[in-house]
Parts: sequence; structure tokens; C-alpha cells
Amino acid sequence: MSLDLSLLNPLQREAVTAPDGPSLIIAGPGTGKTLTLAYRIAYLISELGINPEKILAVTFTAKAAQEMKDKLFKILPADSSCTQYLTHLTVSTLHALGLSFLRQHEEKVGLLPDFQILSESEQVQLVKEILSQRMPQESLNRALKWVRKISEQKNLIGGDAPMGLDLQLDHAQKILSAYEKKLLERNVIDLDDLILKPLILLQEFPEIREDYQNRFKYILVDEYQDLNNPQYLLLEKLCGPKTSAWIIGDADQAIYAFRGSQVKSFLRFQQENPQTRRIHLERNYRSTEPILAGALSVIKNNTNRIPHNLFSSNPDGPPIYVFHASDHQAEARFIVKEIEKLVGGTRMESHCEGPGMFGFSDIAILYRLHHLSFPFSEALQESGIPYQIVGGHSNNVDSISGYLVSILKMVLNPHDDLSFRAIAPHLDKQPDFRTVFLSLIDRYQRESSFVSLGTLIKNIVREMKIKEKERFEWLTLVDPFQNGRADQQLPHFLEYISLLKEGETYNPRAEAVTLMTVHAAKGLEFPTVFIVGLESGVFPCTEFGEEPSEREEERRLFYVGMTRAKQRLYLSCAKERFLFGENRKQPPSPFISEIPRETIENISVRRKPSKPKVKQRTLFS
Amino acid sequence: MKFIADFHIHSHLSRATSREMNLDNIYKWAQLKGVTVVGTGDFTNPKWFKELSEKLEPAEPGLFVLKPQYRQKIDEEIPESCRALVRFILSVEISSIYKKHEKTRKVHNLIFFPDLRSVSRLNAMLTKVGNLASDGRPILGLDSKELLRMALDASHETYFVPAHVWTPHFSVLGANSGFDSLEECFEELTPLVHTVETGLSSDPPMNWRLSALDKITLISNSDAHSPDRIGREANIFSTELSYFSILDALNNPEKGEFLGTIEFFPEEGKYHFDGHRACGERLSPAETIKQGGMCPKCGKKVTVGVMHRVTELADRPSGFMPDGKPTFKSLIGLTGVISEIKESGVRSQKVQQDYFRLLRLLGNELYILRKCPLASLKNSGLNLLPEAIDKVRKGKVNILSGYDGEYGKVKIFNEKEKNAKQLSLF
Ligand SMILES: [Zn+2]
Ligand SMILES: [Zn+2]
Repeated sequence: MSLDLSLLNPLQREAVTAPDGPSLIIAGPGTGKTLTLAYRIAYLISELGINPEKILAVTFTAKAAQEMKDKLFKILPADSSCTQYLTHLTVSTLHALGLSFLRQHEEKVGLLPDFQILSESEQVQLVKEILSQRMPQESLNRALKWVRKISEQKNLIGGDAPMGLDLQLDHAQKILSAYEKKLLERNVIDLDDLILKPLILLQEFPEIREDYQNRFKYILVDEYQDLNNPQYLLLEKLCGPKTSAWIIGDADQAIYAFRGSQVKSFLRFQQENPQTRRIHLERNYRSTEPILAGALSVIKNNTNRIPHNLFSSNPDGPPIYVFHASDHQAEARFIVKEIEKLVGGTRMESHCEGPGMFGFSDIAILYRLHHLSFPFSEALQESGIPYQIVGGHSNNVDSISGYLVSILKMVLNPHDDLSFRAIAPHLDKQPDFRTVFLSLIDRYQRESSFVSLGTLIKNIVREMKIKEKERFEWLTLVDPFQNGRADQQLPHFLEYISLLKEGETYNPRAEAVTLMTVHAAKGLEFPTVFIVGLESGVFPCTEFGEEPSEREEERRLFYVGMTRAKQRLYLSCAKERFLFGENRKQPPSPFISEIPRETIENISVRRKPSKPKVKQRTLFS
Repeated sequence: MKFIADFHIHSHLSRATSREMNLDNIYKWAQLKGVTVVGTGDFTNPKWFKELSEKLEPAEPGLFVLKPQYRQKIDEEIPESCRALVRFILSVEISSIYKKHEKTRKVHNLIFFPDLRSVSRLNAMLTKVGNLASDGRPILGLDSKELLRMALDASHETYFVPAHVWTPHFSVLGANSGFDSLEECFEELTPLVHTVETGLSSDPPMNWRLSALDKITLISNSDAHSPDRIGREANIFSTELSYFSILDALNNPEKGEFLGTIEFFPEEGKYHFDGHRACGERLSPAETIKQGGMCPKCGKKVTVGVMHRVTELADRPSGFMPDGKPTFKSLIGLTGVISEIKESGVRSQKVQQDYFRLLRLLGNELYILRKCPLASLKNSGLNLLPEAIDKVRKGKVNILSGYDGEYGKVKIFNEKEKNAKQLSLF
């Protein structure tokens, strides 16, 4: 039995069956990007008979990697022997791939075996240490900002100019080199090193480079638009003269400039490989015509883009709804009411009419910044509607999960002073509490040799009184690490956590309304989407500067948000909003006016129409 | 002993529920109505759970009583003619809204436990799923079957009853967001569902038309949102006063310890007929079919009521009577009866005064409606009362069916009858 390609449209089929040599697939939102990638891999294995060992598929998240493998199991012909070899296939994020390179060759880049990956909170502690010892003039409160700047600085390789760094380079260089020295002393690396060090490895050791080049004959890259410069270079190094690179992405959906990825690099691949075959996937299977028309007319205002069109397969649908609220609370109330209508009423007493065919899990509320989520989560809480907030907990120590990560690291290594210093300010101020805490850590360590990781974490969250909601999320994360003893699984689990990206904790099976940033919604789709907080200054966000290139990045982000919607899209803004500690009055986002009027319906909240007079029938007279 | 039980009520912590729904008033009104076992409702709500833990103490196995220090003062307020013992059974109603087989399902289920420890175990599990604090009847994105499994995990002594199973929007067999059978909803756990609540808009004969419900016991409860509605539908038992005996009676109806139910006239329920409330359009199932399911006034889809839905799923003709089923009695609330005689609103002073006077004189409401000899009613000061009650007991009343959330309207006498009676008095 051979691979069934009948599900694909002609252009998808062309992409899947492309001959060897470089291919660039431009896949707009909802055009079946993941499906096309999965079929390409299946095609290589089952039709061309390529050994899965020779194939490397790079995904953007660990979750996407797992989903890709599951998908392959489904589409590969059941009777073929290919599925048995699937375990030899490498589907991985670049960070996880980089880590595997380093675990094989750590001594080549000056690391000892068992090196660890720092969490952001530990980076902050380390920078604080440097600032207090060497740069006493620097405020310790700026440590987190410094961590971000260090990362920016480290990723400036290959001739990039610094992106508007306002600091004196000399000062920054000193802090950076002190930071790098500390990492080396402690035998730890940060997340950026998972790309940068393998890059050095491949640059400086030709024999290792050739090894990998010979191993991976076929390299496939998903979400190509979001690679930053070092990641691009790493992939370039992996591609040998005989490698076939097949990359798929959409420049209009590049939303990670703050991580150093840029649209201009999207075409670099074709420039550097002139014989590249370029295929545009333009048939959109996700959104209705009005949603797509609205999104396209927004993105067309970007000057820095590759012209790319989209055609809807679903011409019928309601217009894009726009709601102007007086303030953020009115906005939240409107959305809760609307959600109640969408599910056809949540209560018997408050009868309401609406489409009623949606479930809570069909609905997402998207925003530009996490700070915006509060009025919505509060209104949902009040209404009793189930919801899940995705992300927003970084591994930053100020969040509860950052706190738990530090505790787990101490269980692994009680002498981990960075973790202890990250936790210390959160401990009870009573003098003996330090001792109590350390003895608890000691007990967890002993426990870890005979209980499962889930049990260990349960004990910790119970005794350290961690909030229920967070706790549930954690226990879901720990699921794949439940076999065996906690002390054996703990290093793997911590590594896994440190590589998680925002949005990977989204649980599609939860019967709940999902709240997340537009960034986290990348790659997802929902029958109904609310994009909230659409005010000038908030979305487009001007917190980080107002360069034209940034405006275009914000527009792409808005485009990504809009194209998450399948059937219904609501856009809302508030005249007045409490944000960053102040009441702000802001006009509606200019993006709203970029949508053609004929695809919009403005919603105004009227007071309930009075009940029509019911004519009494005269049954009894 | 013989007693009446109303398992499904809500506390003041539920939405759209009277502030009066506290333990004191529930205790008081259970006596005025003649209900011995009454549900606590809302045990998943943290505030209500705390109040239950503080004010109740265990009585007979699995049942609870209001502690003496709380009940003494209330007892004094209750007419001697109505004073009786009251027991609480730990109960909750959960609103599950979830997707199954690509359709949004909204199902209400009742859960019972014999002890507070099991309640707190279930509450701990549900806290992780959703928000228990904002509503006494919480909305959870939880599959009914999963909910049943969790209740069993909390205690194998739990009792699980799908609520008002025919209500169009929020029930397991409802037309809008329910299933076509219990099996479709509960799958392999279906055999653990022994009992369903029929709801105000259906009575046992309507349910008997489904052979699929032959093995299921049908109970009726008030779903009271205010104290004076307690007992408007209820269940009659002749067994020991205990949680376990009640369960046993329900699970084994052939023992004859579950005597039957006290019912609304189903036409009086809010969803008996089809229709569109906003337009004031009330339709019989036949009319709905004729109109193609659309409101004749505005053209929108009508809300399909219970009668229609039963007809849809029924595999037997109307009027079918299986053997060995508990009996039932349809009644009208006493204030409703007085209101009609006095031609004054149910909550008016005139009606309320007579209502309490009758309770003091004759006994609790369900006694007056069901048992009180007509001769005793003659001394009530309301001349039409004996005949009115007699007509209710015989089911000789006229009802304009309820639809799309609008209660039905009951008349005991037609105008002619009434005028004739009034005149003959002089
Ligand atoms: Zn209910
Ligand atoms: Zn109508």
C-alpha cells in the first residue's frame, strides 16, 4: 500500500513530492502547513525509501515535535515497515537538538559532563551577584533587564548591528564577560548557549560538522520565519553539499523579532540558494471569507513582505464584530455576556438567545500583553464560566512555578546556592524558617529515592502551600515523567521544563475558555476568537519602541491573532483602561481602521429590549 | 416510617435564589410544607459547606439534623399543628457544560453523600476543575460521566441522579443540548444510574412511554429557589429514616418502600409545550411540526418543550401504563388554591394570611392538600376550599401549558362555575 495523497490539494502535493534540492514553501495561515510537512516526511520515508535516520525535522516547540510524530504514525501506510523505523527519525526543536549535540561533545566547548541549564530566575541571581560585586553603581532592580540585554548581545553574531542598544558598549561588555565567566565556573549554560555553543562546535570542528552533515541528508524546517540569526547559521552549518533542505513558513507570521528573528532573513535562504523551488500555499481551510478578507487587508499595509494571497474555502460567515467599550470592565462584561450567548446560555434562570453551538473550549480570548488578562479572568471567575490562562508563568522566580523550579533544583542539589538565593526572599521572615526550609529540602531529597516525581511534587505543593490552579498545571506537565524514582526523573524533567515555550501548557482538551497572548496562540485555531485591548499604544504596543519595523511586527502579530479565528472574530477596545498601575485613556488601535468597513459590524450594547406585550389567549372564559 | 423527601433545593449562594434560603428557613419551611427529608443543596460552595459543617450534626445513618442551639428558636415560630422532625441529606446540583461527539452538551446532575468527609473529598477534586465559589450550582467543563466517576472516587456510597431530565437546555435527555439516551451520556457507567429526576414539566406517565426508562426509578423534587417552594414536588417513602434505606428503596422499587411522587400538573411546568417566549407564541408539539419548528411570529427556531421531546424519543403510545410502578399525585400549591378563591395574587397579604391561618388550624400544607378530610376543610372560613381541594385531588383542573421558560397557568374553576358558586352563597 502506498501513501494516500488524495487528501492534499495540487499545490500541497507539489510541495510534498518536490524533488531533491532546496525548497521553500510559503504557507499562509490555515493552509495546512503542518499537514504538508507531515506528508513530506511520510513521502520521503514510504515513497522514496529514505531511512528515517537520515531525516531531521525541526519544529518550533517540543509539543509540535510530539504531535508531528503522532501524526506520522497515522498517515504512514499501516502495512509498511516504515512505522517501526520512526523512532530513528529526529523531530526536535533546535534547542533540544543543540542540547543533544552538547551532551555528545561537551568537552569540545569547555563544559564538563552533567552541565545544567540555568532558569531565568537563576540568571537574575547571577547578574545580581555581578552587579553588586563589580558594578555597584548599577541598581540590582535592573538585573532582569540586564539578563535580557545580555541575551540580545550574545545573539548579535554574523555581522548584525546592535538593535538600538542604549548602553555604552564597554560597560555592557564588562558585564557580559563577567557573566560568561561565571557560567563557565559553575559549569552551567543559558538557553542561548543551546544554539551558540553547538554553532561554535560545528564551526571549529570540521570532522564533527561533516559527521552531522552526513547523517542528515534531509533537513525540514517548520515555522522558518521565526528563526533568529544564530539559529539560521546553525541550520546552515548542518546543511552539507548533498543535503536537501525543505523549509516551510510564512513571513507574514514572523512575530519573534524580540528574540532576534527578522523577516528579511526569510528570503535569505532563497538568495543564498538561487536554485530554490518556491511554492505558495494559498488555499485557506480555516477561516471564513469575511475574517480572511479583514486579515489580508490589514497585512497588506506592511511594506516589508513577500506578496502572498489567501483564498477561503468557506465563503459564508458573519462579519467581524467590533466593540468599543467605555472601560476595561465594560469590555470584560460584554465578552462574558457574549460567551454566554455563544454557548446558548449557561444558566436556566438567565435565558439568553444566541448561536449556542459553541462549547467553552471553542473560545479564546487573545491579548497583546499578559497584563491585560486580569479584567477578563476576573469577570469569568465572577460568572462561574470555566477558563484556563495559558502561560504568563515564566520560570521567573516571582511566579509560583519559578519558585517550584528552584525548590526542585535544590532537591537535586542541596548546595545549589543560586536557587536558594532565588527562593530566600520569599521565605517567611521568622529567623528559624531558614533551617526549617533546609530540613524540608533534605527530607524531599531522601524521599526522592523512593517516590515518583508526581508524588514528590504533590508533597511539595501541599507543604509549601502552592495555589491549586498552578498545582494542576504542574501535575499535567509531570505526566510523561511518572515512571521510576523521582531522583532519576528529576534531571530530565527540569531539562524539559527549561525548554518549554510559552503556550505549551495549553490544554486543548480542557472544557474551558482559553486566555492567552497572541504569541502563545501561534499555530492554534479556535472557532471563536476575541482579540481584546485593541488600543493605540497597547496593540500596537509601544512599550518597547515605535520604529516602523516594530509597527510592522505588531501588525503581523495582529494578523496572526485574526487568522486564529475559524468562524467568529470579535475585536474590542476600551476608552479607558487600568494598565501598568495607571488609568490610561487611549484611542482605538489604528489596526481596526485598516479593516474594510463592509466586513465589520459594530456592536453597541443596548439595554435589554422590553418584553413585547403578550396577548393573553382566552382559554378560560 | 412514612415520610416525604425533597432532595433538590438551592441555597442563597446559588444564582437567582432567594436570600431567605438559609438553613433556618429551610428547616422551618420543611415543617410548614410537611417535608421530613430535605436536601442541603450546594455543598460544593465553600461558604455553604462551612455553614453545613458548623450547623448540622449527624442524626440517623447518613442524615443530618440542625443542631439544637439553632433549631430551638425556630421551633417556637412554627405552629404547633406543623411541628415535626426535619432531616437534611447532603446534596448538590452540578451544571456540566462540555462537548461530546462534536455537540455542546449541558447537563445538570444531582450528587448525594452520607458524610461530610466524602463531600470535602469531591470538593477538593472539583476545585481543580473549576470555580466552585461563584455559584452554589457550579458550572464545570466536566463530562457528566467523568463527574459520576469522580463522585464514586470520593465515596462508593455516593448517589448520582440526573436532574430534571427533560428540560430542553440543561438536561441529559433535553432537546437542545442533551443526549438521545442515558447510555450515550454515561456509556459503561450507565448501570450505576438507577434514578432520574423527572422535573416539573413531566410526570411519570410521560416517562412510561420510553421502554428505555423501565428499569429507572423516577423521582420528583422542588428545585426550590425560595423557601415557600420547598416540597412543591417530592417523594413519599415508607422505610427507615436513613440515607441507606432511602437509596435501597429507590434502587429496589419492587420492595414497595418507595411509594411514589407528588407532582406538578406537568402542563404547569415551564417547558411543557413548545414555543417562543419573546414573541408570546405557545405551540403544541403538533403545531410546532406544522410550523416546521419555527416561530410563526418571528421565524426563529422555537424552544422544543418536554412533551415534544418525550414524543420524539418514546417507543410507546401515550397512556401506556407499565406494571408495578409507584403511584403519583398531581397537586397545586395551597397558596395557588387560595389565590384563585380569593381572586388575589399568590403573594398578596390576603392570600398569605389565609395560608398561615389554615396551617395553624389544620396542619402542614401537604397534609391539607393530600389527606385532610373534606369535612374538616369546611370550617376553614373559605367556602370554596373543600370543593377546590377535591377538584385538585381528582385532577379536574384547567391548565394553559407552560412553554419556553414561562410557567403554565392553572385554573380550578372556570368563570361560570365560579359565578354560580359565589351566587349560591347568598
Ligand atoms: Zn438544574
Ligand atoms: Zn418568535
